Amino acid sequence: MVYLIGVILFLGAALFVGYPLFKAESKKEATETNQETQVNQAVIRSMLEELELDYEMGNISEEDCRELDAKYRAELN
Amino acid sequence: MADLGYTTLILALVFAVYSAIASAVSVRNKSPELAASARNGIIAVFIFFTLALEIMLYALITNDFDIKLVALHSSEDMPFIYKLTALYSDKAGSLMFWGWLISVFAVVLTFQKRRAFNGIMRYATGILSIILVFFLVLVTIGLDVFEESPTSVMSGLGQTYQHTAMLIHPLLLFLGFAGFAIVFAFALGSLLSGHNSNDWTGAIRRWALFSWCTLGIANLVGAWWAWDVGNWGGYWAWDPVENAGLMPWLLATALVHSIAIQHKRGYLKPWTILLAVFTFVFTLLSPFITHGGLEESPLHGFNNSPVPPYVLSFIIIILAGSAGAIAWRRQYLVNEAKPQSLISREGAFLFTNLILVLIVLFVFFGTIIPGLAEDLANREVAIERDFFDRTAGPTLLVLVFLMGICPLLGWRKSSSALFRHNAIFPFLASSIATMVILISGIGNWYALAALVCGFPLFTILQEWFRGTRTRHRTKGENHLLAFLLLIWRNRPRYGGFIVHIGIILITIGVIGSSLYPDDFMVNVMWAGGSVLLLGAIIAFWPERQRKVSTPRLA
Repeated sequence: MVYLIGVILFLGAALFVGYPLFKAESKKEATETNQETQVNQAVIRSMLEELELDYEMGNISEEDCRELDAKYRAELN
Repeated sequence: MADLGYTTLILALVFAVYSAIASAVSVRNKSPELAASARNGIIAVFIFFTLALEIMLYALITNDFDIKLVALHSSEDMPFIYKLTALYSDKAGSLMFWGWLISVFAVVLTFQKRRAFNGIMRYATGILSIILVFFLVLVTIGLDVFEESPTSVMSGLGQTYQHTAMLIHPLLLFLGFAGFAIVFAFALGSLLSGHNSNDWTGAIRRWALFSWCTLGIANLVGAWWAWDVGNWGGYWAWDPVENAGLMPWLLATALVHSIAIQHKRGYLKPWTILLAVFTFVFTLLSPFITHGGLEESPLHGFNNSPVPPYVLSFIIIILAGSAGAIAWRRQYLVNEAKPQSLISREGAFLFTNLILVLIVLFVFFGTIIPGLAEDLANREVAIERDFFDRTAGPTLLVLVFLMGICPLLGWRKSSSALFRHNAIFPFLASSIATMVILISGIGNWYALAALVCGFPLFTILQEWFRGTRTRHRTKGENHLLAFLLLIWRNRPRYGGFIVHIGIILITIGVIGSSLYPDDFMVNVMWAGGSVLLLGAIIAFWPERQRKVSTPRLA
C-alpha cells in the first residue's frame, strides 16, 4: 500500500516538475538591467538625502558635502 | 505510518537531487525551461518535506510509540504543546525541522526573486537544492528520523526541557539558521552569475536582518532558559553548544553591516561574500557540536550521533566550492569606491567587522581546542570561562565603544576638527557619568562601563537630538513629528541606533552580573522548608530541584 502511494505521489510530482520542459517559458521575466538601474538610482537618491542631513547636522564639512553631492548627481545622470 | 513518512522523505531527496542537476544544466545550456523545472523541483521537495513533517507531528499527537522519536521524547501525559515540540528535542527531528524550514524559505525566495534576479536565482536554486540534499541525506541515511522503536516504552521529555523558553528557543534558532542558508545561496549565486551590481544586497538585506534578529532572540531565550532552570551556573557558561549559537550571530552582525555598506557604497564586497559563506558554515557547526563532534556536551543529549562526519564533509564541500567560486569570479569582488581615509564611516565599518571576526576567532578556538587536543594528542585540555571572559570580553567593549565613534564620522573621509566638535558632548557626558559613579563608590567596573557604554549612548542621543532639530528647522515640522519622521525616513541608520542601544543595555547587564554576583549559602534541612533572602522566598523541593522564588538578585 505504501509503495503504491509512493508511486502515485512520485508520478504526480514528476508531471508537475516536468511540465515546464514541454511548455515555452513566458518572456515576462523583466530584464535585470532595468531593475538594476531603478535600484541603483533609488540608492543614490537615499545617499543624497543622507548627505544633506549629515551636512545640516554638522557631521561633514561644506567642502566634502559639495564634492560628494556632485559625485552622486553625476552617478544619478 | 513510519514507512509512509520515510517514503515521502526519499521522494523529497529524489526531487532535490533532480533540482540540483537541472539547475546546473540550465545554467550551462541557458535553458529557461529547465530552470523553471528546477524551480518546480524545489516546490516538490517542499511538499514532500511538509508531508513527512505532518506525518511525524500526527505520530507525536496520537502517541504512536512505534516510532523511536516519539517513544524517546514524548509520553501520554505530556501537555499537547510539548508533544509537538518534542520534534526538535530529537537529533533527527531537529534536523528534519531545520531542513523543512530551508525548503519553505527556498520556495518563498524562488517566487520573490525569480523575475528580477533571474540570473542569480538559477544558481541559488541549485545551491539550495544541494543544501536540501544534505539535510535529506542526514534524516534518511545518516539518521532515520522515522526509525521504528524496538520497544514501545515511552521516555517523555525531560522536566528541564518542558519550559516555555524551550518552545521558542529552537524554533527561533532554526529560523535563523535556515535564513542564513538563503542568504548564502543568494550571495554565492550573485557571484557565480557574475552579477556586476550591488542591487542584490538590497534584495537579500531583509533576509539577513530577519535571520540575524531571530538568531539573536534565540540566544537570549536560551540564556533565559539556562538562568531559569538554573543548572548551568547562570545565563551563559561559554558551553560549546551556547557558543555554537553565538558564533554565527556574531558573524551575521558583521554580515548585515557589510551588506549595508556594499548596498550604499559598493565597498566591502569581498567581506560580504566571505561573511555570507562563513555565517552559513558556522550554522552547520552547530549540529557538529551538539551531536558530539567535539566532546560530549552536558546541554543536549545528542552524543554518540553519526551526524558529525556528514556535517564535516559538507562543510568541506561548501568551503571548497565557495573558494573555487571566489577564485573564478574574483574580478567581481573589486570594491567600486574606496574611502579616501580609513578615518571615515567606511573605515569604522571595516574596523567593526575586524573586531567581530576577532571575537569569533577567540570563541572558536576556545570551543574547539579541548576537543582537538583530546582527538589528536589524546590530552585533556580544559578551557575555563576565564579564557572567554578575558579575550572576548574586552574586545566586545572595544566594539561597543566603536558604536559611538562611527556615527560621528562622514562617508569617505572625516575632518579631525569636525570629529572633535561632534565628540565633545558624548565624551563630556560619559566622563561626568564615570566620575559620579566613582565618587559615589558604586564600583570601579561600573565606572568603566559608564565610560565605555555611555559614549555610544550619548552619541546616539546627540544624533537623534540634532537630526530632530535639523528637521524642525529646515522642514518646519513640530519636534515630535520631526523625531518620528527622522527615524522613519532613515530606517536603516536610525533603526540601527535602536539596536545599538539594546546592545549597550545588554553590555551593562553582562558587566553588572559578571563582576558583582551575589552568592549566598543557606541551609534548609527539610523538604518544603523555605528561607527569606533579600525579599525572595527560597524553597527546597528535592524532587523538583529548582527555585520557586521570582525576584532576581543580580
